[in-house]
Amino acid sequence: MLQPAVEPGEMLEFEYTLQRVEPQQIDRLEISVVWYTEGKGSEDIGVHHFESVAGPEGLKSGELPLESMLGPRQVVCQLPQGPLSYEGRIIKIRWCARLRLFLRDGREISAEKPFYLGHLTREV
Amino acid sequence: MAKWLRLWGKKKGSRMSGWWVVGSASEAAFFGSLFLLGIVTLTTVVSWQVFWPQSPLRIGFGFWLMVIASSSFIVIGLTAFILQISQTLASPELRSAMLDQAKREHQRRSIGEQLGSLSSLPGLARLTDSPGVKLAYRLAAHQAETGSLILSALFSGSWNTLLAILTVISLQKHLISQPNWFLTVLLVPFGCVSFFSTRWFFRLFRQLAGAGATAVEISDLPLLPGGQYELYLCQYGRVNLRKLEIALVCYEEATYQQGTDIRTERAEAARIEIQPHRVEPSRKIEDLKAEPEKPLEMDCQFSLPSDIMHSFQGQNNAITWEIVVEGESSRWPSFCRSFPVVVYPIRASQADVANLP
Repeated sequence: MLQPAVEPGEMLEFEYTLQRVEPQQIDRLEISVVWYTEGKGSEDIGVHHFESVAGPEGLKSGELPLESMLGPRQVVCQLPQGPLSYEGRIIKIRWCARLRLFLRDGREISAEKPFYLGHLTREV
Repeated sequence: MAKWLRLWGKKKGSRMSGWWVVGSASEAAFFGSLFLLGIVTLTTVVSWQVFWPQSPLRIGFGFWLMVIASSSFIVIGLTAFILQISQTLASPELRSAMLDQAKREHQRRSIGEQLGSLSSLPGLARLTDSPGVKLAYRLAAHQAETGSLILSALFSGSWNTLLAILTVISLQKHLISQPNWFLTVLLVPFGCVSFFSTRWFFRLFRQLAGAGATAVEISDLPLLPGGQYELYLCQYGRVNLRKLEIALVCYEEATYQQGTDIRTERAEAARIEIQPHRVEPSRKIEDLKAEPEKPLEMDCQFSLPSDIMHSFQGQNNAITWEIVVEGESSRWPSFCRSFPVVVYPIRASQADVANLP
C-alpha cells in the first residue's frame, strides 16, 4: 500500500498483484512513478521511475522477464526533491504510481494509485 | 467482432470506448497517404521539367505552387505519421522515459555531467550572470513591457509612413486637377488608425521611460522556503512617487491549444508584501522622491514561509516567482515592473542545483 503523503527524498515502496488476467494473455507490462499536470494547460508529464516487463518474444535489453510479474511484486524507488504535489488555481501537479498492461489482443488496461509528494497539498 | 467494426469511439472519462488501434491506424494511414501523395506529385512535377522540357507546366507561379504544396504534404504527412506510430507503439510514460534518457545522454556527452533529478526546475544561469553593486545579484527586468514598446514603435512607424505616402499621392492628384476621391476619403480612417497607434506608442513610452529605470538587487539565489533575504531597490529618473509597493509574487502560467491558436493564461497564486526597512539616512521613509543626480534607494528584508510552492517549468505549464515593483506618481503614468527570481525546493541538494542548465 502507498502512503497518502511522502516527503521528498523518502523511499517509496509499493506492491502490485495481477488478478483475473492470465500471464499468457499479457504482451507487456509497464510500471512507472510519474508526476503529471492537470488544469487549464496541456498536460506535462515527468517519469521518475520506469520498468518494463515483457513476454519472452518481446523481451528487449533492459526489460524484466514475464515470470517476474507472477505473484505479488514489490517496487522500491527513492523520490526526488520535486516537483512537489500542488493544488493551484489553474495548475495542479499530481504524483502517482501507474501500471499499464498491454494484452496480446491489443487491449490496454491501466491502473494508478495517487500519492502526495511533500506537504503543500493536504490529504483530501 | 463488433469492436472491429466500430471505426470511432466515445470518450468515457479518461478512456475511450471501442478499439483504439482502429482509430490510430486510420489516422496513420491518412497521413501516410498524404506523404505518398506529396512524394508522387513532387517527383512528377520535377521529372517533367528535367526529362520533358516541352511539358505544358512551365517554371513559373504554377510550378512553384505545386512544389511548395507537395513539399508541405511530405513534411506534414511524414511528421504526423511518425508521431502517430510512436504514440501507438509506446505509452506516454515510455516516451517520456526515452526522452529523459536522451536528454541525460546529451548532457553527459556535452558537459560530462548527469542531469540532476530536478529537471522540472528553471535554470539559474541567466539570473546569476549579472553581479550587483550592493548585493550579490542584479536582477534582469521582465522583457514583456519592452517587447510591447518595440511592437508599438514598429506598427506606428510603418503605419505613419504608409499614411504619409498616400497623403503625398493624394495631394499630387489634387494639384494636377485629377483628384482621386476614393483615396482622399480613405485617408480619414487611415489617419484615425495613425492617431491611435501613435498615442499607444507614446503612452507606453511615457510608462517605461517617464519614471526612469528601476534596478533591483538580491542577496542570494535561488530562494529557498523559510530563508531570509535582502533586497536593494534603486529608482532612477526625476519622479515624485505617491506610492511604491514591492512584493514577491507567484504566478501560474498554463499554455493550451484552442482550435488552431496557442493561448497562455496567467493567474496570481501567492503574494508576499516586502516592506522597506531602511532608506538613505538623510531621508524619511515616506519621502519617495528620485532626482537625476540622487536616485531613490531602498533596502528591504523579507523572509519566505516554509510552505510555499517552488518554481516549476514544464513544457506547457509553469509556476514562476517575480519581484514586482508598482509605483504611482502624480506626473507620470503608474508603472509596474517585474524581475523574475527562482524558488527551489527546500531540500534541493547542491549537486542538483549545480547541474541545472
